[in-house]
Amino acid sequence: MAKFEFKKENSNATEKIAMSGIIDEDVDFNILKLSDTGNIEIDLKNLKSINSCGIREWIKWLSSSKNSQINFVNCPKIIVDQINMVDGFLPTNAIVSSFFVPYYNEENGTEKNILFRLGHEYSQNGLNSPAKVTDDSGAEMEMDVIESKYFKFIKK
Amino acid sequence: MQKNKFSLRYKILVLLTLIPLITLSAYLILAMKIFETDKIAYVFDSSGNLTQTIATQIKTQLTSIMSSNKFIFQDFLTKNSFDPFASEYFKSESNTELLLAYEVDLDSKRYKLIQYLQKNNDIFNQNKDKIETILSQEIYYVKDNERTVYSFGSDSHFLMIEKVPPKDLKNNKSLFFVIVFQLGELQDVFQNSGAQKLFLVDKSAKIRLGSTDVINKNFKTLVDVKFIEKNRISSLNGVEIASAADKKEFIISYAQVGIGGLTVISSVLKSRALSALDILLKKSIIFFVILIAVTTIISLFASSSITNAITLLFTATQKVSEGDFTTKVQIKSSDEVGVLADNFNRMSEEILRLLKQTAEKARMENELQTAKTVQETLFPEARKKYDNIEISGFYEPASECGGDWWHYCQVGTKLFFWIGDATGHGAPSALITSAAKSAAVIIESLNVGPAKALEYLNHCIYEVSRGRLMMTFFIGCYDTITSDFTYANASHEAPYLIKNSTKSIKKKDLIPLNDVNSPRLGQSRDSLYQETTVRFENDDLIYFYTDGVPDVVDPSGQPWGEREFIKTIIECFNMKTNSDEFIKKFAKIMNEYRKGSSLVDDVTFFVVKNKVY
Repeated sequence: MAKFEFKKENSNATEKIAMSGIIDEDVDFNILKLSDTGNIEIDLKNLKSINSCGIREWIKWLSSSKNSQINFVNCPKIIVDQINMVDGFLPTNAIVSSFFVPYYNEENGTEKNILFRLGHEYSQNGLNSPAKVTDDSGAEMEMDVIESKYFKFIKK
Repeated sequence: MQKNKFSLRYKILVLLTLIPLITLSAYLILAMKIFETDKIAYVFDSSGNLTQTIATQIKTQLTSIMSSNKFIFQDFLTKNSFDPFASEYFKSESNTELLLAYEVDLDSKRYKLIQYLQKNNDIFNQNKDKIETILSQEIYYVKDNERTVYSFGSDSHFLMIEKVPPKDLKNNKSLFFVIVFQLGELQDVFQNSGAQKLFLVDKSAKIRLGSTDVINKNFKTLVDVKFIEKNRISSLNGVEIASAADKKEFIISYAQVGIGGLTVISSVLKSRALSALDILLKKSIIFFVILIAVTTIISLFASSSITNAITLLFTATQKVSEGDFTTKVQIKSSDEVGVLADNFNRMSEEILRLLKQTAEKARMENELQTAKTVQETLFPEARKKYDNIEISGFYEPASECGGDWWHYCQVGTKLFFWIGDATGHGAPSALITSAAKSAAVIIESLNVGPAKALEYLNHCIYEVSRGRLMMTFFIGCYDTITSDFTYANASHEAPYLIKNSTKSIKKKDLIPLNDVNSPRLGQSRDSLYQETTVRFENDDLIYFYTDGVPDVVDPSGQPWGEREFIKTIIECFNMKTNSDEFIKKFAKIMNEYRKGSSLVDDVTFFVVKNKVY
């Protein structure tokens, strides 16, 4: 199993954190203290999984920074699922700037993750999905999610 | 257990005794062989030296006798008689006893005594017949100027015959001088020899000097020696081992004197010559017996010191095999056995600890099994029908006790459906579900809606877990009068509502009941919950589940995934069958993927179908 790892750097008054691996009960977020002000950008692209105990630690960790503006980027499906399901997983002071939407073509068995960006493929008013997503062979791919469930958080 | 047939102590004892015994025996055999060879060589050497020395002495003495009488003989040849001067000279010569001069007609072989000289008045008379008997026989064989020595056989006198060739060829008469003499002290050497017997034999191998019982016997008849062939001695000197008629072996050495065809032979019984070997063997055996006895005694002590420790260990292992793991071995030695004893003690302590641990684990497993049995009572019947509502469910915990819980109940005209998932799984989560069940029993009696029910339930869970454990939860309430389905969600997986359809449904036809969502139970004491209402009409179906269902893995660890999960719901719904068949089909597909793999999380799902018949 991929071990939880993170990188933290400050750039233009924005605290940037990149996470990878899995988040479970063994992750100690105390070593990753968040500032309570300013902008925080959390890149979740390489996060592999999060379990129920990890969710508890995650919510506790983010609640320590109620006055900052948190910006989640490159959210994988596992994070979007939790955002939609667990109330508080996406704090009120946080937004999702970009997230991945899985596509697949059943005939070819091909899969692809398309990055949806705030202001481009989606906004608070709704989705502006790409008209057509194709795999390497040019075959059209369809969304591998239940839209009414997966994009629920956008309307929050 | 295999019986101890032959004690280690005796094995060590036998080993410590046998090794020196075999080694010493091999050494003794080798040493005896070398010693025997060396001893025989020594006897050969000394015996050969003896015979050669004696032969030389005899030769010297005979030469002396001949030299002494040569003057008398020459005088006789001149004067044809022994004159007074010669007679005086004869008397002064010590070894010669009698001197005779015979004239022998070589044609007729007749002989005539011409004259003689004697020191003892009787010697001529005593020996005349013997001398002439010998002479009458030997005149045929004695060659010119040849000296031949004879013995009388019965006494210590020898006679030597010397033939002088005829002066006148017409008168074929020759002079024969006969010297009668004694060998003096040398005779005693032959007659009184000890273990090593000495013989003086003539050229025909007849014994001329030796012990009286063998005089005149052919030496070959006594001992079958190889150097005497056809009554002739074949070589000058030598040593050999030969056997007598009684099979006794003798070491024989011989040396020719070089005068008169005489040969000195010494003979010693081989067993006598090698008697030192017997003594050595006997003493060695005694020494070995003592050595083995000492070795055995030392081995007894040594084996005892080793085996006592091993015996202690043996006894201890027997006790351990009988189940007494408290046994300790007290061995203070610092060798391997001491280390073995320490390791044994540590091992028995470890076994004891493991036994206690196993007993404790068994107790805990027993308790968990009891907890599982108790928890099973928290769950409702898997299949139930309330008028037009069919309920069918499936539950399997990832371990003995699970953190999932589902429930249904009827309160008046309303049917309540409960599903929850505690943080993690196992015993702690199971305790939370137990608390939830207890709270649910009370909440049911309060006749409140789903949102209020979640609020009360949250109080309960929060008080029980104090924020350490939480629960996602979904409560739905179906009004059998109005067909309204009111629900509230505490961050649980949204159930799917599937509306009645005569056609096969697709993914987009799954309606997640996620219009309202609220914090998980136990997250905050004061959490508030919202509820909303949808229509649940004839042939509609709601699929409730926990997140463990799409997380099911195959034997390679690959998760089933949401796509296959959704496809399976659609496939089961499109069967257009009752809720029970739906669940069976769903469980079948899931288990076919799983192929018996362990669950990573508890699995719970159930369907509620509104079916008016």
